[in-house]
Amino acid sequence: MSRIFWCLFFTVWPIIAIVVCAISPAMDWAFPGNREAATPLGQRIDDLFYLITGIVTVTFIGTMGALSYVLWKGSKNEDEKAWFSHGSHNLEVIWTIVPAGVLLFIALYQIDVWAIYRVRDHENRDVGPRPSHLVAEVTARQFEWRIRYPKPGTKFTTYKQIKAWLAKPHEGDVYAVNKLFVHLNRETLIYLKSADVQHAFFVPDLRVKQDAMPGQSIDIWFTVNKSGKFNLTCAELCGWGHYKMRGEVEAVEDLEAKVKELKDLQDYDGVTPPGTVPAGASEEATP
Amino acid sequence: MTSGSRLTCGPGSDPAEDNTLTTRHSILRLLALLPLVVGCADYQAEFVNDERVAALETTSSVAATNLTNSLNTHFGTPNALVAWGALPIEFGEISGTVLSATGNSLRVSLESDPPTALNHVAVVLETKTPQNRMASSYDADTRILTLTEQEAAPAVTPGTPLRLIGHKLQAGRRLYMRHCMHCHGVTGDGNGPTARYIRNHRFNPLPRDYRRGLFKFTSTKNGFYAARRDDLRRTIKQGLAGTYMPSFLLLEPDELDAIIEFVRFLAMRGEIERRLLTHLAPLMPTDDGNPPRDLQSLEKELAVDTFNEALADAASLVAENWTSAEDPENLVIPTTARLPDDEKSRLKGRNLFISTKINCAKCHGEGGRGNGGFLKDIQKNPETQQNYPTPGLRDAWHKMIQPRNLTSGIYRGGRRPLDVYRRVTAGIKATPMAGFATVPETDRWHIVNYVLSIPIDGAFFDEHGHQYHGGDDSHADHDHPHDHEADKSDDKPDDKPDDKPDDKPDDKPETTQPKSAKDKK
Repeated sequence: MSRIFWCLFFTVWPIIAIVVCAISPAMDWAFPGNREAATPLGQRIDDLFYLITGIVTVTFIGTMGALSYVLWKGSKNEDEKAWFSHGSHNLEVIWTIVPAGVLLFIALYQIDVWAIYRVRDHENRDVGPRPSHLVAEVTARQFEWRIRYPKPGTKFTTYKQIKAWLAKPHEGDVYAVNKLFVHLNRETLIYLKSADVQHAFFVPDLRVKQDAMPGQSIDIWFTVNKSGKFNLTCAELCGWGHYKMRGEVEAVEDLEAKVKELKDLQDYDGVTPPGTVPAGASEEATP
Repeated sequence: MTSGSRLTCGPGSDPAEDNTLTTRHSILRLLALLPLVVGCADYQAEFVNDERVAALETTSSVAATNLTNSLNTHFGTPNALVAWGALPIEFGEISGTVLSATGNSLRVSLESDPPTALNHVAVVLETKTPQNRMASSYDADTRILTLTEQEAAPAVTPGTPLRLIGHKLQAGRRLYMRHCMHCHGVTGDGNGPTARYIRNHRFNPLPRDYRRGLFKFTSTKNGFYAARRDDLRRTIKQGLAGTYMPSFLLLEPDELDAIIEFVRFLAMRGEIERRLLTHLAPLMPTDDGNPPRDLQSLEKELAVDTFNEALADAASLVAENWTSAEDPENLVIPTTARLPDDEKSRLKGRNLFISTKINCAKCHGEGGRGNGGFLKDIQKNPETQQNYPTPGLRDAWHKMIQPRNLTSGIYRGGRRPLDVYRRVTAGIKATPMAGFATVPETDRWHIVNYVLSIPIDGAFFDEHGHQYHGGDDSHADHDHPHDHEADKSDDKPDDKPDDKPDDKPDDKPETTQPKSAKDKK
């Protein structure tokens, strides 16, 4: 009785795995953004993930299938007595080398994605983001995202200039909170800071996730190729109000005009209508 | 599976069956019961009384009971709020007509869709007294609402017009409980469960205690303490940079409106409680803990005869205060546009900043670092007229506060020129930051230009009107070596204890100015 139970127990799991894999596209159990990342790199990250999921699924089904087969066969075998084995050297070599080969393949195959995502910039500035792509400084704090854009029209040509800009407030800086505007179809460069503890800038739709460390300015870059608004969350448990750190990233065609609009609101003196912004603009539009 | 200690006190367990029960079964059963104990019941929140009510209770229970009862009658409990028409609050009103009244249920047809669920609403039939009712079902397609009540529904003929009041307040309460309560507390006393984590830092402002009706960052003129809805909206949407108040920018506009009304509701409740306590103050125990003399006659006079009158007075005063805050007449708005933000204007602002007339430097310091000499003075508690034990500035809640460090680039009340203009003109309510409405407007604009330039260029000017900043040599003129000296001593005031240019000018007004500073408050 208990033999059959264990045979069935180990047979059921591969079957469940196959069923889950088969129905998951129909159930929409996929990544945010209707299975499509809003950045080209995000798409490649997804592809990598699906590849690894495929490898793992095949391996899981294979090993569990083999296990249940062996169990089933052994449970039927009433005649032969169990015997002690020191193992098979050949088998050991095979199941060490094959997974090692698979891991090596994954390691080599993913290098490019990781390099584009985090490293290449440091190797070769020409391939990575250029200083002119700088959009904003995002400072995470308990429990919100404070954003500072450089004065609309500012063109950074060197990283030294960016460093100088990050170091202190500058004339014409535009401030915002919780809502970040970024380029559409153009690379966006953001510097991430933390005002208190460790946070993480996570935009699931863009497949962008980066920790913000106190005392550091960490650069992140991505190219959004779908217009729209994307949820920004904190992905590092940062305190009791962690769940409050809801923000929004919006990709816009003309970012400079958008930031100019924010600046006009910020320059409002109560008398002169704020520039390009329609009259009656809300009183509370700027932090 | 056969051994294990018996569960002997399982609720509702059958003793005969228990003999065979094992620990594992008992735990599973207990787990199944868990939702019954903690999960399913609607949590009954309560409004907390002012601390002084407990003291009042010891001398005059009649007064304490009257106070609590009248607050309950006019404001209800968090789970069953009351919409009191005497207060200028948008409770949320929908009109409709009665379709039928059978037994204890009332079917009504609404003219417009309520934006949120109608749980407890006050129902006003024609002009009769509002009745609190529970909504049992609502059909969004036909806009038909069924209301139930404990007693039989009053006899009404179908077609009677009626008003449902309170859905907005309800929505506000729900959102407030989700987003705000854990710091500001159920009662709005700034004492929610997470407030203690904010309390532990000396200069962290505490979560606002609404019960005094005082809000710091308002756009109303000096003297109008209540806040406008727009002020509360700004604070909720943008947060208060530099404090623990985060931004709730992404709430929907109607959600924000509802939260604002609920905050106003809590503030008015607290203010009325406070005013009633002032009315009942003669009944409070004296300093040595004894009941006041002629307690009987006082009690009859204050807690019974004139109590309702005092309540009506308090309500009308509070209502007037909040209504007039919304009046455009009382809004601080400049009459002339901001002056061009150039070096000349900033220099003028700088000179006003350190002048004896306005003397911002007294608190904010020569270098704008919020370290003025006035901080070393011992201040008086405005309520008891006793000196505070330690020097430093206090807000209306007796919490030690710091003048803003203007070099940090953080402006809690907003960084628009208009916002800074408002701070300079009307001050920051409930703090020693006075308003300077009497100073000519052009001068105030100069100060605004200067204050906004401090984080960028530093607080100091040389005699040519050039701003300079310690360590930053972009403006430093090497022909003037004394500039550099001043630079260094400003940037590192602790370097040489003897060389503190900040303190000298600060000390002077300290001796001449404290009186006028208090007058301004």
